[in-house]
Amino acid sequence: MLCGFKSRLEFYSIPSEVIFLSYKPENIRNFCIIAHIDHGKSTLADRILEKTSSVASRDMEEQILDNMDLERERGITIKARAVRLDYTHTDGQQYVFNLIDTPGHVDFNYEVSRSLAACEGAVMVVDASQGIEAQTLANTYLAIEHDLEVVPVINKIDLPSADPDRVCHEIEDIIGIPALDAPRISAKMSLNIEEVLARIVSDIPAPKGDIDKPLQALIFDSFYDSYKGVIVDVRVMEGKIMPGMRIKMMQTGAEFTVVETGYMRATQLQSAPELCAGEVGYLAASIKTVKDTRVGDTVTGAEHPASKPLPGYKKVNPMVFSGVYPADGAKYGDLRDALDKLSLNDASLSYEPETSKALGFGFRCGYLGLLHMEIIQERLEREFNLDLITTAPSVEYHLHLTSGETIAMSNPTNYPDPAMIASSDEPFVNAHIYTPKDYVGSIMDLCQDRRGEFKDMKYLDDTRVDLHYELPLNEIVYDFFDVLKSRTRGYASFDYELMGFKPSRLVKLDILLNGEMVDALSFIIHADKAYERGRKMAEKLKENIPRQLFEVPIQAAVGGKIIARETIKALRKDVLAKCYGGDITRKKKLLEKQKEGKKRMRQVGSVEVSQEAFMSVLKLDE
Amino acid sequence: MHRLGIYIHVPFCLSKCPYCDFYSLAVSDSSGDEDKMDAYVSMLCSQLAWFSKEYPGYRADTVYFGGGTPVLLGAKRLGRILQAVRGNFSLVSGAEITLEANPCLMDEAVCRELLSAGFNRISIGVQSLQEEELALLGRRHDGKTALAALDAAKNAGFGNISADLMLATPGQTPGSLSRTLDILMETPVTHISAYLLKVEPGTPYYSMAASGIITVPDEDTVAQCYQLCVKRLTGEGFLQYEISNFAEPGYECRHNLKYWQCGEYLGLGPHAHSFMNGRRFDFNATLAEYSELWKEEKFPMHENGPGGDLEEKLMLGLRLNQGVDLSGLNRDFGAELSPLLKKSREYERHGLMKTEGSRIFLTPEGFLVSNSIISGLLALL
Repeated sequence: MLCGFKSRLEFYSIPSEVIFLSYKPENIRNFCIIAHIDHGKSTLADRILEKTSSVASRDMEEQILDNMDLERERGITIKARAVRLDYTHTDGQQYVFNLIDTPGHVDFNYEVSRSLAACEGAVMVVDASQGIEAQTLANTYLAIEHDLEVVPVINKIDLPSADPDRVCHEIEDIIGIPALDAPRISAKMSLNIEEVLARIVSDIPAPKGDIDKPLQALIFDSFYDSYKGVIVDVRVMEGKIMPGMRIKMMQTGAEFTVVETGYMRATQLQSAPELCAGEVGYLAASIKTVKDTRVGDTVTGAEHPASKPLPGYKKVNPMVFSGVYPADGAKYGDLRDALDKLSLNDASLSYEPETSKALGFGFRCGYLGLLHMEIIQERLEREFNLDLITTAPSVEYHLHLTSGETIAMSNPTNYPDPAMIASSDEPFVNAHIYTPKDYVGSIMDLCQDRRGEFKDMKYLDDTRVDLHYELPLNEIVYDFFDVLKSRTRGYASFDYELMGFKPSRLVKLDILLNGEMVDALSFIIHADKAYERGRKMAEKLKENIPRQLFEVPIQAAVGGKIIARETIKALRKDVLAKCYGGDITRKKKLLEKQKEGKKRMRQVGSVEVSQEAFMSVLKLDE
Repeated sequence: MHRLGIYIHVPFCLSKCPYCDFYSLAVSDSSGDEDKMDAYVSMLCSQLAWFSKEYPGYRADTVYFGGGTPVLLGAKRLGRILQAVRGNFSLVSGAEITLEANPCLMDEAVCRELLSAGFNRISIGVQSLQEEELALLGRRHDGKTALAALDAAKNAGFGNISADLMLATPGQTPGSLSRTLDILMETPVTHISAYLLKVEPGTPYYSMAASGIITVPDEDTVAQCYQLCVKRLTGEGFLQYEISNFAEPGYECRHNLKYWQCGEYLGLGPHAHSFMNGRRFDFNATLAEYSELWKEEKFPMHENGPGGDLEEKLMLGLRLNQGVDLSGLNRDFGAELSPLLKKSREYERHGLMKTEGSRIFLTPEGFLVSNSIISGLLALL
């Protein structure tokens, strides 16, 4: 059982004698499916599984590869997963398809790129009515960069708004690959899937690799199994792996002895005596933690190691941070255990204990991006039943101190005395926004408002535009995506990547309630934005904090100077004057209700604030 | 023998005041209604007998007739009920026996009859002595009538006279309230109940306020009126012994004190409430349903759970001027109450409470926000 997951798939091994194909690299096809969100990637994957009879139709649980409840609910793939399929083609030959499913969100670009590196081809799915979107492009360029053969497929031709001809032209014009005879399918209706399979055989090259060379296997994913330890998904580039072999991770230097090798089938693991160059499969080596199996690392033999690791390895760094606190302080241990469990399968989640005067004991968590953050927070709440308070997402800044030292800072409470700061840098991203041209003005206003620098505007066709802006990351982490969607009625899409740090005038904004600073509400923000943010927060707090029995001044301050203020008037009347003929019960009910309300309040200094109020201010939902 | 308060609900009124959400039915002088009232009285008498057999070991020491408009029953019927109380519950000598009365229906003769019937305390629904305010409250009397009623009671021989006042009603200002109090201080009242108007859902006042036909004073005016009332009355020798009740020394309403001190009481009549044997219950029925069920010697009992627990002692006790003694409660209930003392000291800093050793009590400012304070303290339990 996968630890911490509600997994429908049971992983256990079948003895390798049951099904074993002889090694024929020329009949292997390693490919992934790339697409923009909701263009039908997962449905097509389902159909391919069905057509290769890897899963009987009646056993088909829709979109079987998305095996986390959350993924299914949001309709997105979070983790990569590979599956080995047997396909008997019309030419009578047996082929091995290794379908590698890739995360479809910008936060997980690195994982996507390593999954692509494990493939020779990419089936590019485009929605016949929507056409090319942000991630279609982003992932396709990535695929081309990795020298993958891109096989375009036009999907959803069953929709009334489908315009396959237009989309074919888009593909040819924008991406520059031939697409006029791309298979036109409907994954939902199971139409023309055979054409896709045929193209995979004919257009995607077989893998190359020499089984006699020293082992080089690319790690593109891993997950923790409580019985076998970490199961490492690999694509063997050169050489071979077998149980008993001593291996080494080239980036971390860690060594292990292989216990088991095999293939990932649709619903179970299947052990195999060895994994050879060109194949995709798994190895188990009693590895304790996923942190020892870094995505992009190279597995080689400890006795006869390869001279160089495979290219493309990158240490993934968190981009977005937030404070995560248990609403009930007594649950700190539960939160810690939950984070430990989640990180068993998520090497990119980072967390460190931290304390807040306002919120007590908690953790500062680092995520790859906003979606990653949302997923983690939701999983903590749902799978581990935790009631959480989370601070607004923040980014990491570089502060150059007058002492000459440079510090990296993601937690506002660690902000040093401003007098000690000589200058500061903040992270910037290259952002591409794809939008119908009608919304260009509104989007440019938005980006300008978010301190963006216009770089370029290209017409994708006569109705759509690619806007390229450089934006500060901290202006995106809040609600940029939501505002973008609402200003463009959902039509715009958005992609970004970190481009580095640039100098910026930063200040720390503090909030004081009744004269006392509330550390959880402190912000690091660009100097020009401080007043507006301070004013908004003060207003929001005034709206959300219930009247107390005394007057409460709310103040926003920068460097000790008050820049915005509001006041909450004291409550003057809250009494049950009359008691009708001994009806104590009615009084009691009312007071009980009030009492329960108060119990849910958090004491922030001398002020009682409800958790919802606190959260709404932290999130600054507009 | 346990002491018991008896509450008799008389659900009859000549007309319903627009702010009132107590249970009552309109009656007139018609003979049909006379019969109705006779039947009601007979029922009450047999119910008293029933309860005394069902729950032996009680002696009544207070009786309170509320409503509705109890005086509508007339002294004869009221007397019958009192007799039944005496006969079934061994009414103690010197028991406090109160009748709520409407100023319209009282004159010296009526008051003398009531005294003969056994009443020794009368509570007159004055509400206000300003004509405009009385009109807005939908009362059937004017200021003069109320004053006459007070005098009639005194002249007939009542020594224990209470007046009900309503605070922060539409049109009232601290100034107009002050004038009402000026006049009231010249009357023979020995006890005043001053209630802040509460606009209850389901009453005509509720929709009138919602649609703007009446304007209810704002919070600051409410606070001012209340504080004014407290200051004035305590300045004139009345002790504020409860959030809404003021009495000359020795004239506190012993029946109502039972409510705040978790004393036992039996309430008869539709929607009357009781607290006996540790149980709180009420009769959740209309008069018709109530009478129907009684034919089979049944009561429409609605259980409200146990009473007299720590939470009740706190929430009710803090309504009283003397407050509660935390170490006494600690002893009786074995509860850790120091967080409450700590919180009370915080409230003390804001002038809302006072602490004297382990005794905590609310100040008049605290009374105004007593719900917040009490629920805040309860949340610490």
